Amino acid sequence: MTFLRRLLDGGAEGMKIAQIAGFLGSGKTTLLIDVSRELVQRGHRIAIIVNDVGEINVDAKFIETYGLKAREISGGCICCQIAGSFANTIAVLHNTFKPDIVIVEPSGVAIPWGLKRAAEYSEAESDVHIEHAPVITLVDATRIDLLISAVKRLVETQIREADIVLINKVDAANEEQIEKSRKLIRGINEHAEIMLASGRTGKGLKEVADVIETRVSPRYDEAVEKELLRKQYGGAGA
Amino acid sequence: MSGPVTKDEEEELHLEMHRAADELGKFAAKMKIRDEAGISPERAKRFMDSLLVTVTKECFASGADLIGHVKAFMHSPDGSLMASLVDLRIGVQLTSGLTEESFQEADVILHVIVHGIWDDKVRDATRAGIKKVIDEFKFKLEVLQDYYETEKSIEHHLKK
Repeated sequence: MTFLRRLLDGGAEGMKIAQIAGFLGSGKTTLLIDVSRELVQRGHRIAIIVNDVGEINVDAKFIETYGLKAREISGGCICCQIAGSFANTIAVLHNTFKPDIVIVEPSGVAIPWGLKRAAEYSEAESDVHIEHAPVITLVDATRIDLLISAVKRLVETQIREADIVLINKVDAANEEQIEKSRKLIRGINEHAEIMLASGRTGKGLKEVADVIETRVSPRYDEAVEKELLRKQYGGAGA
Repeated sequence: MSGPVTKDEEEELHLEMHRAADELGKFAAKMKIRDEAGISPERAKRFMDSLLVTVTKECFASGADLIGHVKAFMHSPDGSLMASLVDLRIGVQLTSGLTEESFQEADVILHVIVHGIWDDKVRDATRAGIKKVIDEFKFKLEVLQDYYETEKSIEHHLKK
């Protein structure tokens, strides 16, 4: 019996949403496929949702070549513009495929807290109770210098809202790059757990699967989201 | 914090966040390639490698300074092939699900996301790169769909 039982919450079945975020090319899709296969082996029923702001999606088709259930949502950002489509997709998945875990690869512009809210909208469309796995953000250790110089603000945004930051590609990175990544993360988000991973060697894979399987992150809280936005982007009272 | 956030203030913050995050130039295309003489798996791999490298170099020649992610997915009746490029020093990573059989046509989806130039320049550089590689491999090309409107993803926040 796995830990992730069907929750009884007013009769609703439980479904866990696991977000794997991170900058482009940080290894999200590879990790998502490997973790999904690991969780399937552990007896879970896994569905995957990938989001791209463009209208042509590559990743869902690639993921399906591994025999995994994937849905793509295109044409906008799932945390806001197409939140309704995202919630509807979760509701439809719940009513048809009945996954106990849905792994979401958001586009680079989605806000984790906004995505939590969008996922919880599905509770109005289906007899489901949403819980969230810790938000995992990937950082590519091999490109840490390039990323800091070119897209610092974007990287900061993704790290700031993470529960766990995964320093990825450690097999190809040197000690200096890993340490620099660690310091960057700690400077932005002092509460995040830091883990090391490599898609090539499988390092960290089982630990990430354990996190998704056994742990939860708080549900959406409007006040928390606003405070995060204020800290990052200023505004009155920031 | 100094009091409740107004709806307008929240929208402004949200828009600012999206713009800051969405500072990358993007272009995507769905294409069909064809060669009646047949495309072997090895030739398909060389094509995908050359496509990603050439398109990326065209973007850099147009002013890009960082690869976001350049990737392509090829799907033929005989399987699929994924190609991914995030660093020219490391090169293209290929994941092949192709069989040993040659095939005459395949669909190719290409995503180009780079930093330093905006969508219209990415579009022009990508199209130039596609043309070079298609000419080099002597494939017939049909563009089925393309897309480059980044601002479309945040237009719901824009005041009319």
